Amino acid sequence: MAHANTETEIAIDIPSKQTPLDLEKAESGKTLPFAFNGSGNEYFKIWIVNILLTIITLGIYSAWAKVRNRQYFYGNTQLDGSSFAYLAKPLTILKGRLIAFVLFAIFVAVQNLMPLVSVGLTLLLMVAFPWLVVRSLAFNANNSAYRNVRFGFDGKYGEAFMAILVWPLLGTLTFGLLMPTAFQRQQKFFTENSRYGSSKFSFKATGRDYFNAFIKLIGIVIVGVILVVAVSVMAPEIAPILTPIVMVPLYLYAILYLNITLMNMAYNNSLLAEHGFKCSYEWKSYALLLITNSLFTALTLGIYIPWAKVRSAQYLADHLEFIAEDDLSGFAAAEQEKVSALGQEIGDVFDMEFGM
Amino acid sequence: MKIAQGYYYDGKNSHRITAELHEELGMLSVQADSVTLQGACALEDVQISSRVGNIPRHLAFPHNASFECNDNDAIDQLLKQSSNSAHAGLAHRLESGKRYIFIAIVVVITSVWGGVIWGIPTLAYKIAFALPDSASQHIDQGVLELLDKQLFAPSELPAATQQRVLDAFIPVSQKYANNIDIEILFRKGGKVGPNAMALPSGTVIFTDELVELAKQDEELVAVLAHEIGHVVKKHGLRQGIQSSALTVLIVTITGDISSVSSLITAIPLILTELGYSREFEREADRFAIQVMQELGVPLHKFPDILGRMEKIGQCGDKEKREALECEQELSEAGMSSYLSTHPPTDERRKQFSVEP
Repeated sequence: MAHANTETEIAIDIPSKQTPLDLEKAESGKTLPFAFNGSGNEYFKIWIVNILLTIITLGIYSAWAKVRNRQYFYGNTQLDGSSFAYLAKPLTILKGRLIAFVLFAIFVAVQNLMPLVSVGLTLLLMVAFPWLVVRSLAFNANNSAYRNVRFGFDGKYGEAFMAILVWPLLGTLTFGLLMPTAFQRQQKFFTENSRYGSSKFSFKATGRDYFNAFIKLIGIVIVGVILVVAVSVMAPEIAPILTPIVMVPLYLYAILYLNITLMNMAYNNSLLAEHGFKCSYEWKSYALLLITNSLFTALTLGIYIPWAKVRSAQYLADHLEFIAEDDLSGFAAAEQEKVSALGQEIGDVFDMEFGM
Repeated sequence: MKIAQGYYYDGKNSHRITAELHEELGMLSVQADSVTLQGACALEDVQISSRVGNIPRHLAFPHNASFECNDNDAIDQLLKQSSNSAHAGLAHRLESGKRYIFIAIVVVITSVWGGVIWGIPTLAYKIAFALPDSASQHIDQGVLELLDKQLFAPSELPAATQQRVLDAFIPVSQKYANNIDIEILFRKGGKVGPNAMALPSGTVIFTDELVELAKQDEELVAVLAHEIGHVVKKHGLRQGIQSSALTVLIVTITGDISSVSSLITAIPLILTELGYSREFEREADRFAIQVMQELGVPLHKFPDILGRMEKIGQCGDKEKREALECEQELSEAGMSSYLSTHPPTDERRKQFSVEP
């Protein structure tokens, strides 16, 4: 299933914002940095106690664990002295999780007992996927707040179906040529359906902007693939050696390029009412973060995970700024609605992640 | 009495007021410069967010107003007076005690280790043998249809050869006629090459290539005994249960922010599953030894054909098999035993060399 990677889940709730192209306006705004105050040592304790209690309660505590995890990262993220808050109730999550778990058990049973029927089930799951994404984003946004005003997400199934299934499919069918447009459509869908209180986010990058941002990656991938294909046709003996030498760095490069460009494009082109964002992920520091996080996590058999998560959240906060046009007092709260956790929990159980 | 300094938000908009929290006889109020922003409200009616690390606390008053404050200790002190706080803060108490953290680390590492090595396999064994046999009855048909579509072609063995092999199998299949319904099928393996496989409810497929590779029918009887071992010990079902349980375990450990790198979690998952698979092969080998001893088939027949199968698997086509380089490749194979679904052939040969 489609994956759009973002650094931390906090990103979901601070939908993208960007410095207005209009320079005059950008300069008139006040730049407010995001701050992250968590520490790896502190989070390690929360993480290990979460796992302990989850094991002891045979998984029941996982809903509380999830809330504490999120609360830690939201609460430690600050903008202009006020912190973000994660407000979901563990019992709501537990309910969604139990239903999702039953559905998953049925799915696994069918997959094992009736392989042919499971093809149909997989298709059904694909059709349900956009719905799950929308419900998941809505649940998350509704339970995220800043200055006692909640975020919201109002995406509809039809748009989600286009942005999440159809466009990436078109991107794949055109060998990546339409992928930048697909990314742009997705980001536009996520951003423009997000709101803070009753204030809407808007997104102003076009498909062309995305194409320009990705042209280098497309070019390098095409050259790399042509090289490998040409070698395996003309000199098959050295192909087994050459292929990994070319493909592994190419793969790493593509991942870094994608993450960096998607983050920067997403925030730098988003507006919240007339306020903007500035996101400045950089190659060297981000590559270092990703490589050291992966390496240490592997070497410590997972013990490093809490530090890796904290470092990622720290990196996001360090490279994200809010460009405020006033003192942020004027955002009105919206009517509250209740969203069930079911969509999000089904998505989690079936391992369908979708950031931003 | 002033309890703490913080920010007040009325919940209607994002306007922030620096204010003080006051407590008088179990009633809370919020004041700024002697102006009362929130009138006295019973402590029990205020929802106070739980303590997570050092993130700011949010006090939610009825009618949506809230008070954000960094003074965790003052809030904890306040909560001690509240009647409904008997178990509040338990997680935080565990997280802040050095001794608890040490216990948590030991318990988590032991249970993850023990769970992977012993717990999950035992659980899967219990479940698999508790399930009625009818649960797996319809599996074979579906799997066979898929295999025929994707891998196999109809057998090209002469009818006489097929009959001869089937006759040789009679003593083995009769042994289990009461418990399982063993059905022998022949298929042209094509890409699969010389191999045999058992489906969960007793269908055993031999490829033409394997039958041709056997120098004596006793070798095929040995292979059949091994495959029946997979059926009798319900390896198919157990493997399915084990991999689901393993996924749940990994999700518990990594929590819900899996952006660190999915590759990092995939590698231990694959290695563990391969370990499980090798354990199943060993169990089927032990089963085969028992059957062969009972039927009086010399034990070396199994490693004999296994050695020939491995040569073909490693060295590809017939011409290469004879060549010297193939022997070299085989001697280097020891390195890759962690990446293999089967135990090293040398190890298996030793197991079969214990004549009674």
